[in-house]
Amino acid sequence: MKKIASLVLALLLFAALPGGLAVSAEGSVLDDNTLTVAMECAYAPYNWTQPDSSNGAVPIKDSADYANGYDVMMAKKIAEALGMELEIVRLDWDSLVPAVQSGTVDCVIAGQSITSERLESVDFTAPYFYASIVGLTRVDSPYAQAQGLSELAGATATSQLGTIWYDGCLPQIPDATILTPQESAPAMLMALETGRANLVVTDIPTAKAALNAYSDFVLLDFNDSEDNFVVSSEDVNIGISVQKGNTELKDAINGVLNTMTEDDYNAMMDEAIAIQPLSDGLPEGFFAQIGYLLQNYGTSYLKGAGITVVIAVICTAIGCVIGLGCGIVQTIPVEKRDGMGKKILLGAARAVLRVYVEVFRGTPMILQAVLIFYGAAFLFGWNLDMWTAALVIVSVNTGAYMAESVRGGILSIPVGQTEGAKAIGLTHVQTMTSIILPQALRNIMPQIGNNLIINIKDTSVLFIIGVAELFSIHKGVVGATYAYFPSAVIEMAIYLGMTLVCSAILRWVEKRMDGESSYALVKQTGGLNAPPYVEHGKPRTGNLDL
Amino acid sequence: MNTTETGAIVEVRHLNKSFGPREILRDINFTVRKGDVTTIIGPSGSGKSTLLRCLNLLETPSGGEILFHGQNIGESANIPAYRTKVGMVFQSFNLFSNLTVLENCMLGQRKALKRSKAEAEQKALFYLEKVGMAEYVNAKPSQLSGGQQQRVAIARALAMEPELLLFDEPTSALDPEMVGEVLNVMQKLAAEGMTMIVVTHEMAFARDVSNHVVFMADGVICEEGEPAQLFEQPKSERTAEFLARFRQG
Repeated sequence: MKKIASLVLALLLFAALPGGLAVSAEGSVLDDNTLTVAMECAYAPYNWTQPDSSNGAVPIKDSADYANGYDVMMAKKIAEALGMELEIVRLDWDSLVPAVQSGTVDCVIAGQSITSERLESVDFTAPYFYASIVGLTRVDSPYAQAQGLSELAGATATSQLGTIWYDGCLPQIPDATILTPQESAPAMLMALETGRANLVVTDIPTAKAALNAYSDFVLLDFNDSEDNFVVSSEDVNIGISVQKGNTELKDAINGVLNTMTEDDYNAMMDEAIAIQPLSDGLPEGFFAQIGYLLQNYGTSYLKGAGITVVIAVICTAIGCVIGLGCGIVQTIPVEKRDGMGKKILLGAARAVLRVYVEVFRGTPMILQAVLIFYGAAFLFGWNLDMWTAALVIVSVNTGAYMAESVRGGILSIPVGQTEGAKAIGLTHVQTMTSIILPQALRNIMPQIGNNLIINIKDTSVLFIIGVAELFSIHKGVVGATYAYFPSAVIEMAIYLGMTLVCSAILRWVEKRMDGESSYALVKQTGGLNAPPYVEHGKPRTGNLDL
Repeated sequence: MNTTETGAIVEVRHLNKSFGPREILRDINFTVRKGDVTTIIGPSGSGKSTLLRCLNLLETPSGGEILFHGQNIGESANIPAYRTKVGMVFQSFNLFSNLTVLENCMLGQRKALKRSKAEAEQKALFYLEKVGMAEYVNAKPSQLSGGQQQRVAIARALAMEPELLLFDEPTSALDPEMVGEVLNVMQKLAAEGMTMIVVTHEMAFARDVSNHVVFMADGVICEEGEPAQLFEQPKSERTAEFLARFRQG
């Protein structure tokens, strides 16, 4: 497979910058005695997520879940042979190359094919699997009995985005209608199941695993025939990638692979397929599948939801503080009598804030996440903790939006409030803290609520750097079970539940801030009871009685 | 002229104010002594409010001097401290809408004068009582009528115990039936000896309550003097013309 995402390209461009060539010089990976291996944990049968340690699954770093599959078995074998501790890191597919390139992980064992494009960014070991190309169709399709490639003529076909299956194999089908590519293997299988396509092309492990989940699928394997897809060996050789120049680790892994044969690989893959979570098949019926997922992955969903809420709440709070700071600086009045120094300082600060707001508001958070997380490791050798990176990215993003909200909130307060405060001798800071900000905060509460709800949903992009939030749980569950629709429905319900609860809490807070709608008179006063003003015994008319 | 000898609190000398090329005030000179109740009258746009706002530096004068007890406040670094001594009542009240009536009257005392909470509360209650608003201490400004809000605003200014109180058209934003309650409070303050400068369109108040009237038009002082003289025998034609409009009603 060769999956070339725009993200990787962006990172490669980044790497091409002069400063980018200074790849962080990590110490020898063999020294620290921990083998850090990255994979998607959502690409059965190579790797998947499961809720328990059954069948020798390995805990995923910074997560309550476990990883298993062909890649995990291979990783365990290698770590054992090298006498190292194994650590599995869950990363999105598009993040795998940058992660190994930047030295964030030691190697990637994730069903990556050894392509010339990838070889420009990373080094590969010898193949650890040979993934021949096959087709899948439904039992009721006209192609169910096909004996060769030519018999697939006229099929409506699709496959996964950025793979040799889509880019290289689909065009070889005569007169095929080629649909747009699907974002993942589970999505591709869903397209076949729902009838949008009547043929998908993939590799043998994926196809075998799919047969477990979908009883009405038929495998079309033409590998013993002349009438087959033509692919180069680089497209089917699956390898392990290490950082460029890390020959020490590469040679060590090759040493382990040399002790195994292709038959060993196939036997191990069959074993992986057999212990895949859905090897006994997904229950029939939509609600039965939802029940199955809740029973097996319920705690995973809840933990993901918890992480999502915690990140969203903390980052909205930090973002509000950042926004308040920016909003205050943006609205400090400059007066004629102010000194030159203050004017220049304020002007510079405002220019910096302007750039900050425009850049973070004007670019997708998913790209910011990739650039901050991998860029920091790549350019400066800073290996940011995943959680730190997540908090920084979402907070800084929220801050950019809140800066404008706060500025608007401050501008919305009538100038009379400021003048009233000045007139009793308050300083600018006292005016802001006692009068303007409390009112501005009340006015922007709806926007703060908006940001919290947006954050609950938008933290889903953090899967790209491996944060085990709610959406990444979905990717993991779907990667292991192919139960695309039921999992999506569960996620929708959880997201909606979280945002509804947040809305309700925020409305309650707003009501509390508004205070009582009535007030109590404290006592009768003996003071002036304001009798009508009388001019010369006559009621006041406003005109002079001259 | 030495201000300490004459008992002047504020002396305005050759004051100018322009907004860009537009001249609002030209060569304004006048003196306010302790106990004076000065009213400033004149047609709309004549610069009355701008003059008042220059006096506590809500507007920065373009030229001239404002002497407070002989000290030029244009050169004073501590403007907030000066403002605690020169209170201001606005046309649109400008009560702090996030605070209760009591808190409105305590904030300046606590923050600017650093009075203790107990003292600030006691003073606030005293002056709220004076304007007849003591029973409303728990109300928010938005829950009060315009006349009530303006009385609270006066109490807020009084609670700072200023030497001079500025009123910027304090009754112009009020319904006619509420004007009386505010003027009544102001009349009482005048009777108690409070030094006040009042920009107003209430000619009867100017004539009956103040002891000094300034008539402004087109950014200059046309005429000033005792109310009886200015209202009965205006020297300037502009003044006579202006006052005539009030006599016809």
